Amino acid sequence: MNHVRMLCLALVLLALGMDMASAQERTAPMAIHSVSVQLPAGLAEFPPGPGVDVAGKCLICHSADMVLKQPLMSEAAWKGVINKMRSAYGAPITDDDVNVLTAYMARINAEQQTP
Amino acid sequence: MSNELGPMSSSRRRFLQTAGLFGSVGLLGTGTALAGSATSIRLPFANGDRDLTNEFPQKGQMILLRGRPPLLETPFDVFDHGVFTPNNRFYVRWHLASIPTDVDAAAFRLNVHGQVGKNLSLSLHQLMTEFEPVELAAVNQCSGNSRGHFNPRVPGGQWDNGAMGCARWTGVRLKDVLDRAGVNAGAVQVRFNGLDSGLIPATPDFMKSLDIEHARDGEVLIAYGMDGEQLPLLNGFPTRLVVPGWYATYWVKMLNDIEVLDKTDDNYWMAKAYLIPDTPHADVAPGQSGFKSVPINRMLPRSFFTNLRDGSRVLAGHAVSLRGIAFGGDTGVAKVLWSGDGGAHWQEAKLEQDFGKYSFRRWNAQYTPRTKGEDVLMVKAINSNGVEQPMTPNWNAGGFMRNVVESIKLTVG
Repeated sequence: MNHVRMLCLALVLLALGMDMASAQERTAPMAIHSVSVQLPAGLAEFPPGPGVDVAGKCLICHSADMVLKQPLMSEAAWKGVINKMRSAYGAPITDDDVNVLTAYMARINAEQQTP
Repeated sequence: MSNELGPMSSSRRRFLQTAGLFGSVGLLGTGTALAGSATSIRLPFANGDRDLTNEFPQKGQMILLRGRPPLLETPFDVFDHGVFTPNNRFYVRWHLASIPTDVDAAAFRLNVHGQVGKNLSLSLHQLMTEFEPVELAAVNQCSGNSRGHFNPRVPGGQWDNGAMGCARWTGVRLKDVLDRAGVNAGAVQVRFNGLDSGLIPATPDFMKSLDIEHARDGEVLIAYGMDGEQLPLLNGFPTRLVVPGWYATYWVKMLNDIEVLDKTDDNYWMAKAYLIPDTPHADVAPGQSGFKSVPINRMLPRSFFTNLRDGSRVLAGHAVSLRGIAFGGDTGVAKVLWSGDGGAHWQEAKLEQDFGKYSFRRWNAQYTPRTKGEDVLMVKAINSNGVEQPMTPNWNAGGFMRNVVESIKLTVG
């Protein structure tokens, strides 16, 4: 809890009548406190191999873990995902990067599969 | 307060270790390690190994799907403990990596603008004191819940069945806030934006929209409370849209901006993402094309066993209590049926307390396995519109809206 600091503020909900049929009536006041937290760094990285430097660009926006948890996907499917990341989300992956990254993703994806 | 929001106490953890399967006569346990003591879990599909994590603020033990931005799944045994999912076990799903970690409750403002008579900039205090508070029990389910079970598999967040939860949401009606602003006659949709954003300027900001009639139906809420507490930051503190009966993609977290539009929203997250085939249950054949796509919308009925799982062992001739949860999707649960023989015969389960039509509904039944071997148990919900879960899985390339009848195979000893 040392990374969760709660700063009390005087915001109190005075109990008012509630009329939703599905609700239980609530009479206790609800206090809202400011929140300050730290999120884990999300440092999951990609396994080594040719193309891992290009894959590093993916880490700008997300950690590697979800990529590693994908089901078995073809090279064509990976190329589709990579191009979506470029066109829809602005990933700074160049035309020259695409084939290298596609081959890398297809390889590590196959190697990550477990029963 | 801080203790309540922190990681699970050790006593709570012990409780979860012992309470999951259990209390039923004739059960022999299962081969799967229980969450709580383990550091990893294997979800029931290929490449389903996951770490369990206690590293996230205001969260207990969760299944880690992605660290940044966080995707955290609720371990399924949590759903056996009650209708309402504890805030610190409620699943987490963020799209974009820039998530504010310091939110000042006094400085926060919810802005309303666009096609309105007057702009609003509301403090939390104003929201909580100047509008009628309402409370609603409602299921929040990710559009892609259970995506890992799709066959053929599809890319995306590979969730098991735990990207859902049910909470009592406290807040104010969106309608009341819109009425305060005064909606112009030409309004078509209402767009919702939160404090999160992408890290690359070209990444489209996450925004979702509802038709103006839906936004003003009196059911859509702006919630500041979740089971009587403020929302955990990762579930959208300080305010979150609650869209009862609709998939969670519309339940915009850290909601701070409401814009009334005079046209249909064409932003990426409405026009390109979260589209489904405009077919019953969003079902198409793999590889099929040429169908119309529409934004995902209403949820479908689902039901689950919570005290037994695939591989559980039971004893022939001994009664076993079956427990589970169901929800009707966009309306209430009318019936839950269960089968002890792979769907050949169905019996009606007993429905427990009704917390409202958008809530989880707990169900129970008694089952006595007759002969040694294997029994396939099934459960299905039928909602009050007469929509029932299908026996064959729906499929679409987005991995959305899975709601097939659930089945588990038990070993009868």
